[in-house]
Amino acid sequence: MVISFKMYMRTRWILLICLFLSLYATGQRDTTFIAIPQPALPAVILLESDFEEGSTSADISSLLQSSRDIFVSTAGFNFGTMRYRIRGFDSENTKVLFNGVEMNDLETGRASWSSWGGLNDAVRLTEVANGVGAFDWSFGGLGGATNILARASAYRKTTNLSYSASNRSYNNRLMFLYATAMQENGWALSLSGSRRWAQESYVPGTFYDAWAYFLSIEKKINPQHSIGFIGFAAPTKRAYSGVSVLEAYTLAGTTYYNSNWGYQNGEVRNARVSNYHQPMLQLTHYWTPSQKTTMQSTAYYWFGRGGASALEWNEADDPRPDYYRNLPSYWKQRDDTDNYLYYLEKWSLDESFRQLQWDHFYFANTKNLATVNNANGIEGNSKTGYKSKFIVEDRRMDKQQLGLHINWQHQLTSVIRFTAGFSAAQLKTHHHKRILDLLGGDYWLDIDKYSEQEPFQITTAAQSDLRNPNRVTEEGDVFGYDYTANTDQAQLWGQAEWKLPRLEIYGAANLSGTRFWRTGHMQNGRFPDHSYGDSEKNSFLNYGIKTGASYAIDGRNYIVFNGGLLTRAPYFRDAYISPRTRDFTVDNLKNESLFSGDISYVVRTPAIKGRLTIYHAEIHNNMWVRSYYHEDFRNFVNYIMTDINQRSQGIELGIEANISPTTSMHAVAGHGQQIITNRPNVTIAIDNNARLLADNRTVYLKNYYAGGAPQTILSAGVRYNAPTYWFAGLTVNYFDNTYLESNPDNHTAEAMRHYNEGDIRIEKLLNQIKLDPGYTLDFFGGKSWRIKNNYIALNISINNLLNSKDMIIWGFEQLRTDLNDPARFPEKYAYMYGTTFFINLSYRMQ
Amino acid sequence: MISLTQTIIKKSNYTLILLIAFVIPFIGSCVKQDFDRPPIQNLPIGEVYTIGQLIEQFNTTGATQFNKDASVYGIVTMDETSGNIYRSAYIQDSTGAINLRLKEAGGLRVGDSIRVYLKNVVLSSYNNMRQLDNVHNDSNIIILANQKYRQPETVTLSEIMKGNHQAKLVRLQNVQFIAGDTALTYADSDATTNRMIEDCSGKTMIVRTSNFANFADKSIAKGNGSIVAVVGLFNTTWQLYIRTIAEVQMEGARCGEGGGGGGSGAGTQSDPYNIESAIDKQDASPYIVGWIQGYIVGSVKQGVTSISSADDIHWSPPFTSATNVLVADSKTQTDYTQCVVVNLPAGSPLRAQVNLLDNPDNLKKSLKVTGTLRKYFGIAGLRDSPGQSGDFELEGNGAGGDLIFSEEFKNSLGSFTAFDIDGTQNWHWDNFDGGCAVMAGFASGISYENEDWLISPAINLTSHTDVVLNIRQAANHVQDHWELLQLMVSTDYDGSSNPEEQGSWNELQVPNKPAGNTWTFVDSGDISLAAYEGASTVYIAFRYRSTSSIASTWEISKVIVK
Repeated sequence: MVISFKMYMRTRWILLICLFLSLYATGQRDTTFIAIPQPALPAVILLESDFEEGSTSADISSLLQSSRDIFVSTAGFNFGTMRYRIRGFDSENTKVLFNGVEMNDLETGRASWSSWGGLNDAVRLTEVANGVGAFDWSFGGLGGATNILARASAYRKTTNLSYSASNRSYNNRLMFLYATAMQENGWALSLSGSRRWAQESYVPGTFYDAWAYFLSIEKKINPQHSIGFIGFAAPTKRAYSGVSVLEAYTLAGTTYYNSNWGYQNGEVRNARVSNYHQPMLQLTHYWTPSQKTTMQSTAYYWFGRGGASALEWNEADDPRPDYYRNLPSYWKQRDDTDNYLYYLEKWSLDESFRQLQWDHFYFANTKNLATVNNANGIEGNSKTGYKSKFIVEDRRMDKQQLGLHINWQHQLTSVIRFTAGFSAAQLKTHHHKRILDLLGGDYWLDIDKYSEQEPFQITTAAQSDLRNPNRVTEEGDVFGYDYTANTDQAQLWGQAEWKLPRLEIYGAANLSGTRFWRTGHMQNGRFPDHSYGDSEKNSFLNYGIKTGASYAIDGRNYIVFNGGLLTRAPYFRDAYISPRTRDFTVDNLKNESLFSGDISYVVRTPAIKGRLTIYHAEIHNNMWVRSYYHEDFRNFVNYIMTDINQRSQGIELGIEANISPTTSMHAVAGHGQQIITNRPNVTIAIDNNARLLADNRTVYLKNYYAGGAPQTILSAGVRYNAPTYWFAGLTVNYFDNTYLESNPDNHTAEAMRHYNEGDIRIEKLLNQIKLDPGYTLDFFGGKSWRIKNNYIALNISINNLLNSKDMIIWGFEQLRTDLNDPARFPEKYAYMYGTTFFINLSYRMQ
Repeated sequence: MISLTQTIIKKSNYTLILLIAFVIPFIGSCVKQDFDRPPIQNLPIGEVYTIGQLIEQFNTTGATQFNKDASVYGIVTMDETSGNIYRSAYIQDSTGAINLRLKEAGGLRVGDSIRVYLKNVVLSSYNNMRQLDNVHNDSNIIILANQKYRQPETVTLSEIMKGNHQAKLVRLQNVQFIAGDTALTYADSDATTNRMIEDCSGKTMIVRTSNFANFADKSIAKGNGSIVAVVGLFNTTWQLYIRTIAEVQMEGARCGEGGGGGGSGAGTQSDPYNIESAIDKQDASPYIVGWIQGYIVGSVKQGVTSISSADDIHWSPPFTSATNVLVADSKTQTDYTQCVVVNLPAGSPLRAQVNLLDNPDNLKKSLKVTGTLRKYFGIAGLRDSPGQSGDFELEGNGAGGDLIFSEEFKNSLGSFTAFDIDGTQNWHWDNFDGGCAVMAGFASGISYENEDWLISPAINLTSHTDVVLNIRQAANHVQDHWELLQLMVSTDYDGSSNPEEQGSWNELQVPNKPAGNTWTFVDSGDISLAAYEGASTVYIAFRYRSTSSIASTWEISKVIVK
């Protein structure tokens, strides 16, 4: 049916209302809509990882997408789910700034896009530096830097409304942006909000429940001074999917088996739900003393709750369905055919058997009558009630950060430009856990379930807090562990650029001081003298320098060179061996040193834009600290690997070309190698009492791949832009050379002592597992309409058109290993989603 | 700010409608996360068995699996918290005890009163040890109450070997680890280990400890004393499982060493040898002459000249012989090797008053007698007693005097009244030494402050002279704080008020006190009550006190005024 323009003008609002109402009616189901991206920029898809172990490079993939550089935006957009790391750098090496304020977490070094998830329209204005390069807002990192410009006067006047439908992490998104831009009266306002939700996301058993709000106000006091306030947050609740072993996927018959959920009274309930709400409030003073100088000073406060829930149990068998003892292979290994066949049948045929048995947890809890003597440390105080065997706990990482950022930019002459800045921040992250749900019981006894017990009494070593022994806890109570990670940091940096007609040179340097320490709020029974109160303060001084040059051979061809060298303090998370129970740090904490250098050949013509780069990067004195159950020592250990050196080198190629006035193509290739270049040292200690089990053990990991991400990517695509404002495109993406991160303890002389020359298990243990290469076919397209000054745009993008569901994109070797039978604890994997789509309908009014 | 709102309102109307239309879908965007509690399944009781009935069923029809609703009740006597047993627990009731094999580890505690829902549970045995197998912790067990601790039964090694104590909680006294084990730890580091204990007559038994027990690496106790354990069986070998190292109290002098404080008595009238000691001291060179005390448990069958089996003895009426009685340390003894045969000389008051043929009611009465310890009827015996009234004491008859008052706490606190002044713990009855009153301020590992009185009824001394008081008591963990255990007397107490507030009480000194660190009962000897002769209402009281650091256990098994 053809709609005439007249008809449309008369009925436009009715049409739109009907459209939105029909969306409501279909509510939370998958529907196919057509959406159009903004012209010239690819549609932004939020690629938060919902894997348990937390994401690394996927965190920043979305902001990489907003880069103009075809290699960087393709790496983020097309290969984000495979966790591709540009030049092998983790997200700690990329600095993300929001209106000039660094958003990388001081405790871990990572920035998370989900801090402003759902505010896509509000954060569209960015300044990006790819890799080492000149950057106006901070010294940046070796992996690059991005600043999101959010001052209210920077926005164009607009009202945007959009609705998106998808089948990935969320199914629906409603988003709006209202911006006034700077008005005559000196005020500017930008307001944005969104709602993203899904009752069940792509992976069964996961849900998504998120809001977002954003407010940016600016008042121009006079031509030189403006004051602005920005406040935003993205409260998000979402349930995790799982990473599991091949056996579980095979038996469940799906590559999206998720062990984190189960049926409760017939409804789906997931035990691992992350819940973040961390508002950021910024007060900024903008000063333009002259045409050539700008200065921006921001004071900010960033606070709020973070963390995820999890199942906890005591005096019960591990209830996780894919725990090795709950899988059929466990019985097969013991030659118990009856049980093996029983588990095999139940696992394959009964869905509720291979998920969490919530009803059983309630059942068990209401049968467990128990009495605690001298409860809460009060003599003679007896508490009798149903002591929960299973609970859901909330593992919290609540943040409180206060800081200051000052940025100064000065165009000295038409050729020379200076930028400089100072920042100071104090972060306190409160790590603790609370009881979320007693699952039918009356109380939970707060003791360490792994410590030795005595009949008739509770041992001192089992107490979480000696100041409150024999604690009987209920919903909402803090228990288990309670400490604050304090990190203070101050930074000073400066940069100078020369822009001559054919040569551009820049140089920058920074100096920073970092100090961190632990404050314990519980006196742990295992380490009574090393858990309560402030620990020793660890201080580090760091510096960095970077320089580069870009030489124009002619107007179209350039040679670019960049080099950076910096030292970095260790992060709190790596430095403290087991901060939940004690304040011990890794011995001899030292700074990491990092180096990166690259040479590129760049082409810019109306028809072709391209870049070819060779790079080389090194990281020295890296640390890797994990805790796990060690079969040989039959104990839960802290595994501390230090002095790890890593090298990353390779080439990057990115080409965008207009084949014809209507057709364009892109081609991207990245091939690199990230290897460990030395033999790191390892110290192993028993987690329960810090007794040393091994000291200065050598790990023979030289020339092994660092692992965890593809090292080779190829992408090629075509795009057709029709004159009538529609476009469509097809892309092929290929990735390869993904190796799994090795289990370092297998690569030691002590592990090899179990075998003689020629034993086939040696190869099994030492061989680094390479995942199969994979490829996807993606489609994107859209159309836009213009009505007077308003635009309607419909964008659609479909990934993995061929619906391959068996591509492994990520995995790791389990740390727990049985050297007699390495197959007992096999690798864990996660698979790529099948066909997924994102459809966006937006309405933009000027 | 006004200009801001004006700016918003200035927008044309259809934008407003759009905004409203935009907001509507938010209403449908709820993501459900609240969860209903599921209904909890009830486990029916069905047919109720006692543990004794389960044992009987196993003995008659062998292993079975219960396929209908049925239940058994019991008290947990051993749990897994010390790590000595795994996926296992022991329950006991008044009829027997049995091992539970659990499907999961953890959850039960000693003292839990539980009901085991027997459906799908398998009653079977493992190398002769009876068990309830296939017990699912959550779907077969309901915990009904906590901290209902069962007291261990005091037995001897020989009694255990008779077979009636399988899976039961027992206490052994006067035992020690064999000399070869005292230099070792309770378990080797890599496997469950057997160690050996022995009693002073040389009988031995295995103490088996897992290398996962929290006391596995502790050094074995080197002295002689008591141990509390659960009895296990492996084919034909008996073994003991320790619950916690605190229940191994062996600090006394080893057998054959040290002074008379070993708890076997000194052979005097006021501190007679107990039967175990009398058996030990048989046929010494020269023969030992002394007093022994035990319970009359039977007499040799008429016609038997030498005892070689339990069938040679009448353990219950009718009795056929008047020439002898068997005495033992325990009233329920049926192992003749644990008895001493006492010869009753013809024509003596000893024979007339004691023999079972004429006085079958003497069965299970306490007899104290002096004589020579030498074999009789082929087993341990006491002979050549003069047999006159001063040479023996039969319970219920005085030794040459009338009993003015007697209380033996046979199955309750009897005529005594307990007064709880302070603290949760109280005087109560237990079955040691033939029945006694017990008070302990120590419960589940913790010492509590207590003050508790055990007061006699009013005793009339108006027409008596030379009145003496005898008590028989045991006290452990006293740690030399005898001032906390006081024997009191009053003549003006009113019989019902708080003794701390009413009545003037004097402390009596006990001439013969127990050592204070063992479970051995000791006769006090005569305590003179001459000062109170002529009083019509004399009250004897036992005043027990404990603090949060000192909490002894005081047991009174006999109070006699004569």
